[in-house]
Amino acid sequence: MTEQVTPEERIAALGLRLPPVPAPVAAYVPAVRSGPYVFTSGQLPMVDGELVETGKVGTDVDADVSPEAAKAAARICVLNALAAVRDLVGELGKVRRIVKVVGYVASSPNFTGQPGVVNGASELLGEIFGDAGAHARSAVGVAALPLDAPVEIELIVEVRD
Amino acid sequence: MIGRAREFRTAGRAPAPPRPAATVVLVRGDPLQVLLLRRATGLAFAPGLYAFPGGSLDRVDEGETDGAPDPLLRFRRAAVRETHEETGIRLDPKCLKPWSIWVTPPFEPRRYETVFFLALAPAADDVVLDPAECAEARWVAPARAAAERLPMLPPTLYTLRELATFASAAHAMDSPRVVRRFALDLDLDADPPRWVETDGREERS
Repeated sequence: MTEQVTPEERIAALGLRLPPVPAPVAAYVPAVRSGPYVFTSGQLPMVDGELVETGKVGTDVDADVSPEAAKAAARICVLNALAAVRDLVGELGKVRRIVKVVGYVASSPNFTGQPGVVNGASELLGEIFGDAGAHARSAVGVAALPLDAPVEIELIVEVRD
Repeated sequence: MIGRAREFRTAGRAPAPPRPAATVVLVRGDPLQVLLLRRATGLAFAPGLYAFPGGSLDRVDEGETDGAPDPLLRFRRAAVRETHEETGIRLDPKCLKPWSIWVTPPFEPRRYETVFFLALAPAADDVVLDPAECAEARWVAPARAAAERLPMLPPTLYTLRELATFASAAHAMDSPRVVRRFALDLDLDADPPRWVETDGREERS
């Protein structure tokens, strides 16, 4: 029997579900394996083919998306990225560790809270992978993202055979 | 506990790998009551402490179901099996509501990663204790049990405080729940030592 809690079990206990892998919006694949590493494409906060939020993230009253809503959207990006990883390697129990997270936040001009938004991704990875979820990270503010998404997350993970 | 944490740090041992486990927080009534067991003094883990029914996953909990696949199946089966063994109460595995996940701190020699489920106690079921495992069973109001300073582990106390905010068992069962995974460690460099998330974040509560 599996002597440890699997990532899939943690996802279920957290009340979450891995979605079907979203179709790419251009000419690329959702994830690529190179040696022991899997690189995912940037994932948008899509649920059933629709973005859960659109627009720029900021703290001003006229910002489209609040930092809290963007943080929640970052969690959805992670689920989509993990779905792409699982599709490629079979099961998330093969993930040895999360190596790096890159998060892009479509930001209002004066918004500097990108790390707080990308924390939505980092915290969920910690809950799903425990110690193996600790990772290096970049959190980048950008002017705009595809389809007017507020946040985009990509992962690099190390997998075992 | 602080003594064990200091000893662990001095020894430089690798933490024990946590074993999968399941716990059931049985609730009933309006106002809400919860079932607390006092663990037998002869047990290896948490002897003499007040706790909810539960235990480690076993080989018998493995295996497929005929219905839709459920990633939590072996946890649900273990939760139902342990509850029946310890209290005589029979539960439907489908009616367990995931409530939280608790990981025993790294310095403890026996570690578990435990899925806590909430479950409504069947109306007519009397508690029949297994004396090898449980010395006593009490249906208690969670706020009162938390205030009584009964000997219990931090996750038990934390869960009682969470449940104290619900008027009735039905309210707790029907509540929207964001399940959290608690993986805490003692920060011995703080004075006094305090609980932190194992990745260094402060406990958010």
